[in-house]
Amino acid sequence: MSAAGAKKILLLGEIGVGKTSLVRRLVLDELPTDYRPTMGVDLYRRMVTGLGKGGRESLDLVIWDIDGNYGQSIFRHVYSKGASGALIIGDLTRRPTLELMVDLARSFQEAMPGRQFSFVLNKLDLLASKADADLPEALKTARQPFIWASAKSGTNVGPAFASLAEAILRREA
Amino acid sequence: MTITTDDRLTDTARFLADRGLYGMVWMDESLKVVERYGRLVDFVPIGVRVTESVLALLGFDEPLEQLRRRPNWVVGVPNVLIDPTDRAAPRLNIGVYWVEAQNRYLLLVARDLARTDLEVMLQARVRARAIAEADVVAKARIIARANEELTRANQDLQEFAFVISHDLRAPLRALRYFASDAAETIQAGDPETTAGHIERVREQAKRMAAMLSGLLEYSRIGRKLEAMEEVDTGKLIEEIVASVDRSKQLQFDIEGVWPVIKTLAQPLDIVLRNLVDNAVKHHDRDDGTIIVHGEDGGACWIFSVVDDGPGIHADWHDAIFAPFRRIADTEVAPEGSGIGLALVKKTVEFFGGEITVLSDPTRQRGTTFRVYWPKELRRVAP
Repeated sequence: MSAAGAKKILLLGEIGVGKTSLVRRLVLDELPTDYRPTMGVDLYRRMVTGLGKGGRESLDLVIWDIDGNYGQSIFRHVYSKGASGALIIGDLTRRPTLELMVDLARSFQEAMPGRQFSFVLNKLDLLASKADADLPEALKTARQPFIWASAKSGTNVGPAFASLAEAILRREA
Repeated sequence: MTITTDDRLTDTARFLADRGLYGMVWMDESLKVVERYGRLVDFVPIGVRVTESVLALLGFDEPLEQLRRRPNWVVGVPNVLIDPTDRAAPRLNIGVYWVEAQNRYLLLVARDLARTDLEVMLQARVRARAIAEADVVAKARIIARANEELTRANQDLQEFAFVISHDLRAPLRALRYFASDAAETIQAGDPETTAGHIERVREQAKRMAAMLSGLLEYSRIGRKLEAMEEVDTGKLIEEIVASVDRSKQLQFDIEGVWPVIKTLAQPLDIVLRNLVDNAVKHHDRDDGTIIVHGEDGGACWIFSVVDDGPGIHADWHDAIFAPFRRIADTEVAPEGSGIGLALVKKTVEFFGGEITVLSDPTRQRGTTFRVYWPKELRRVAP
């Protein structure tokens, strides 16, 4: 169970945005049918392959699925120590969770300057079209691109983690 | 927290470790594991740095090394689930200490006993309520969307009823008159005039067929599922301009930016083709100029068709977008089914765009139709 070269990434976002569903879809290819909030932190591990030029590189991710209750105070908590990056997740059907994404990103950049992060807009399956998404202006105009995903259908779950892994690999190469 | 080296304490810890309440791991100065006790730490290999096997300590190398300068400190990670395949597995509290007297580190792993079942249950209920509220909001949005569709369908129905009862009656009435005229001239033994009446009957039937086809096309907007695709708008506009039937003196200028975009090809084709057709059909001279212009408007693409025709009086700016409302301001009788601009407006607005008309023949000739075609089309499945 060696974690040599492994990189720690955080899953951040308001409670119920689907952090656990996304990581379990990625690692275990399952979708929890019963909603059980994460309390504390659940650790997952995933080797992401097909990275770098020619897709010959890989990165061992240790994914910290963190209790959504921490909000922005997570950056003062020991859980965020030593992270190489984060996926900041929101629920497309709950606008307040999308507003929190922008605040989390700002705090993440202040607490961990230079570390990589991506925005993930989850629960795409609940929208008839992307145009129906009620995105806050601050999110739309953020320089960071966002990934439309659905843990339920599996849409863009792998690419969300892979793009972060790629960014970490490039930065820490 | 200070760890003593009292043998009895160590024995007690070993006793608890054997019963699965604690796990103890001893590490040397370089954080390599030298001893371990207890089932909770069975997975920790001897001889390997602890930060490489205990995932909860990944990235903690530096703080752990600092413990040696601060022997009363602890690096602790509370409430961790390290085996996510078993969500009922015990949650652990992890603490690392520097035991100065033994010149080595001690890792203690303990079951999280602080959270009672009641606390867990209450937290789960609070969160479940938050999620349920969100579900209600999501369902309300679905209902609002369904209502919007219903309103639109009702408007369509009213429009249809009006068109059928009013606009289609005109050619029907003309058919009846020409048929009666033909009957009279047959009785009068005048085959030449009869042939003229029958020709008019044929023309009216043709007109009705064109109107019905247009109406059908109009009713189908947005009902057909289409896939987004790469569309070279430059090629598209060139094809449209090349295919339009016009006088050789009527010149087309393609200007601005015509990019390759990801959109629905057929609806965009309908919009541009009808605007170009409209500009040609309603032009009152043979030697005019029509400019088609494309530009990036930020959230949308802006496509304009500018002609130097007779113009459209402001009183008609709304009416021209209704089905079969052809204006009679021009000296030249307009061709077509009279549904082209209605098709354009309905298509553009269906996908979340907008169309405007700029024209004031009391000041100068010409009309500009400007289409704001969204980059993210509304009502398109992802």
